[in-house]
Amino acid sequence: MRVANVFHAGDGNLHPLILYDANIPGELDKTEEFGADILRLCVEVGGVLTGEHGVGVEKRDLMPVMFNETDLKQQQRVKCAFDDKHLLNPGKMFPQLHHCAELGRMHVHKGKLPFPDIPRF
Amino acid sequence: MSDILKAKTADDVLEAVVWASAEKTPLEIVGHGSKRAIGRLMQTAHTLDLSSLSGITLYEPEELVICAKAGTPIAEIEETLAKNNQELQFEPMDYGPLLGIKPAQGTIGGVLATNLSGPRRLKAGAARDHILGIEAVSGRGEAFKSGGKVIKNVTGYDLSKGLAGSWGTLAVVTDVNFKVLPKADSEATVVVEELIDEDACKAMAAAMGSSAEVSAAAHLPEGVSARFSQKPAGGAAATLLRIEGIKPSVDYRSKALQKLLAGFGRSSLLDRDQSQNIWREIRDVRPFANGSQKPVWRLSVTPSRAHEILLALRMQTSVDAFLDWQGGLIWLEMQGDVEAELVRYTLNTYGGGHATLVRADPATRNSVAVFQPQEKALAALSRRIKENFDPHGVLNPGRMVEGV
Repeated sequence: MRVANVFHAGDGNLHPLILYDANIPGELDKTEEFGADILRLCVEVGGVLTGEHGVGVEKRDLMPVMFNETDLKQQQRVKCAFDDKHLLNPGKMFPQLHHCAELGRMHVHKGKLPFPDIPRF
Repeated sequence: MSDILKAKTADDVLEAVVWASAEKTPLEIVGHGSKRAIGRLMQTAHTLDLSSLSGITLYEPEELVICAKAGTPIAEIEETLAKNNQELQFEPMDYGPLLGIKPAQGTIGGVLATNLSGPRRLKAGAARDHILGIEAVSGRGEAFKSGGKVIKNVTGYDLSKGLAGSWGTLAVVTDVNFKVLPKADSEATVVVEELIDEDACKAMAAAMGSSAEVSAAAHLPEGVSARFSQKPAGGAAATLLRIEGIKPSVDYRSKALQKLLAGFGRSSLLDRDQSQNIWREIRDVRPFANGSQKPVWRLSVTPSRAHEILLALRMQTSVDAFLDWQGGLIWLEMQGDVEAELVRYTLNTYGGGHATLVRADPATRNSVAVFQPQEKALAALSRRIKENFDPHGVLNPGRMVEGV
């Protein structure tokens, strides 16, 4: 597929414009997959999923490319502090919804020695 | 005596917090301890010392980014940046002299945790506005990251900014990525002499509203002005406006500003060296860095009402004060009691804001609210945020607010 690239060269912000024909069946899906490939490459080389406008339904499912489960859970805990019933735009930003009660639980760390490698003074 | 755990790696930090969280034993989080005397007193059996978690891990001047471990000295960061004629543009202040300890201490992690800034805040923002990304360990004993290393990034919730100004109560930051920018080629400061506080506020507002692109605006009343090393306006009241940029532009804008403010009073000009020197002293609150334990407040107020607040306070009690951020920041040294009720009542009467008690003896710090008390709904939200990051309250508990 062809892509026209518009850049904010000064601050490393890319706007790839993917050219496609909506009249051809399947072309739109291919376009979205191509867009996702571009985003995966951005993260791979040290960039991020979005430099403007933030994450919404289109980029939501790519969040795990950039963040692991712990990172995402900590973000969702912030949402829980503001909106524990998920009333505000649920499912807009996080690919996996967790109940706030579940996120509030603590892991139990058993059998861990109290930091044997750290020198005490 | 507190047991000190010295972390050398992010894994050490993780291990220590996992343990503390499992044992439900609180930790005091420190770097160099340069701001340890700010905040409520804590009762922690263990101290997690990050001063050995140190070193710049990545610096790409052309990408305008520096990454460092949290315990890296701020002095080392600034020195490294200066070699490439770059800086942290938010001009982080040094609390050392004010708190009676050696200057130029402090770590880059502390800069973020306390959201430091300096006179340029009114133009460039604070640490919060320059942090690009972090790695941290929450009070749950989980390592997480937020943000990235690039200038433009709006992916997910920006937890890095959320941790700015949290004073180590939510997570232990192990790595920070900051945006860096070129230093100005040149600078000068216009000094308008002998203005009363009210006229100074008007002059600063006129200057900030002009096309001179003022990068700092302070007012040093008579008596306080004389306590700077070069005594601007010969020790009389001095209103200072800094202009930065390339030399011909600085010259042009300084002259334009002097002309604009001619109606307020006589003005003079400080050259680059004098300007750098006095703004460093303003940044570090030099007039009150006198080795005393007199209470010092930091008031964040509506700039145009700063003079009303000062006048109202002076009618009631004996204070020394000067203004930064066009009046938006009042540094206030009490000559007698801490007067927390009077200070906060006056603040609320004249437009509201925040009053933070940055210097006081330990007994005072435990008997008055050091940080501005929050409205009920906001306090409840802060508590929920704390519980979500640190459910057992093991990280700097009570440093900001009792029970949080």
